[in-house]
Amino acid sequence: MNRRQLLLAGAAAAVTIRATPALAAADEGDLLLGLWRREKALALAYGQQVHTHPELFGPARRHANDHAAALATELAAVGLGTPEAPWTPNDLDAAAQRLAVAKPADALAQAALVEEGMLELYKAALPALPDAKIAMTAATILASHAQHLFVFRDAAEVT
Amino acid sequence: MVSRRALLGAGALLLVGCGPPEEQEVNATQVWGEQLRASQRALAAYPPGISPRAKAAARVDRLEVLAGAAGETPTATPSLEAALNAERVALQTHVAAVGQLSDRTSRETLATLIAETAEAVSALRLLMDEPPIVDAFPGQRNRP
Repeated sequence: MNRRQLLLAGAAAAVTIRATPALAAADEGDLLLGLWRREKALALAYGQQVHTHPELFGPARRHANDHAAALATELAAVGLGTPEAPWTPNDLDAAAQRLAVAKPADALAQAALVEEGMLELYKAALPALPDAKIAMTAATILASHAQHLFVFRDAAEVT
Repeated sequence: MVSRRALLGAGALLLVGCGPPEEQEVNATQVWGEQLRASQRALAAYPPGISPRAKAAARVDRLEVLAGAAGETPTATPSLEAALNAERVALQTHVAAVGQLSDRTSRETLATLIAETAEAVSALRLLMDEPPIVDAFPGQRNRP
């Protein structure tokens, strides 16, 4: 079992053990935990590429960390803690990993792809978040990813 | 008695600059009417011929169906700045509606509206030679 698998298994165990405040919170907590992981992975990936487009990836990394911090607060609201953040590209989801290890010439296109994935992720999550306050927080993060996607596509002339 | 969950949830919203919504009965038609009026005001503020205007018009068309009525067409003095301000308000209105409507269909529709309106805000800022992204939580009230 590698470090990534260990972390995932640990997080799953943490969800099972700590999700006691409300039955509904378990699903919501799982979802929030998944979003938190993706944001932390994205922040690390932007950090790996920030030298290629500092004016774009610097703010994007900061925003991903801001999103993760807001999600961590929501995780606390449903009685869950936050696991250890990823440390290396090997700890990331596939899309973030591709961005993290992309060649400089491909970084912008990979960033657009990963933001497209984040936007779809939040679009899918929004109907599944029963708590109004949590859903509104997710909605603003969705808006942020839509803006980053637009800006990266514009810069890369992907569209 | 206020639960730990409610307290923390309110704290999270305050952290990102938005107060907790007041609990009250929701009239979905009324909520969609508010979304329509916000998007109509934005569309009316767009100068003719700029590229994001067509998408703004498409959003109004979709919302007219959901609101069940076209309503009165608002008037505005078109300018990029007026369109930007109106789209920012529309984005805040759509985000607030997420807290009011919890059914799957409404949330899916709002997710698309929010993504498109947020993109419009960035597109208008680019046209004004301003930074296209100024905040990690666009659509929260009292934020840029």
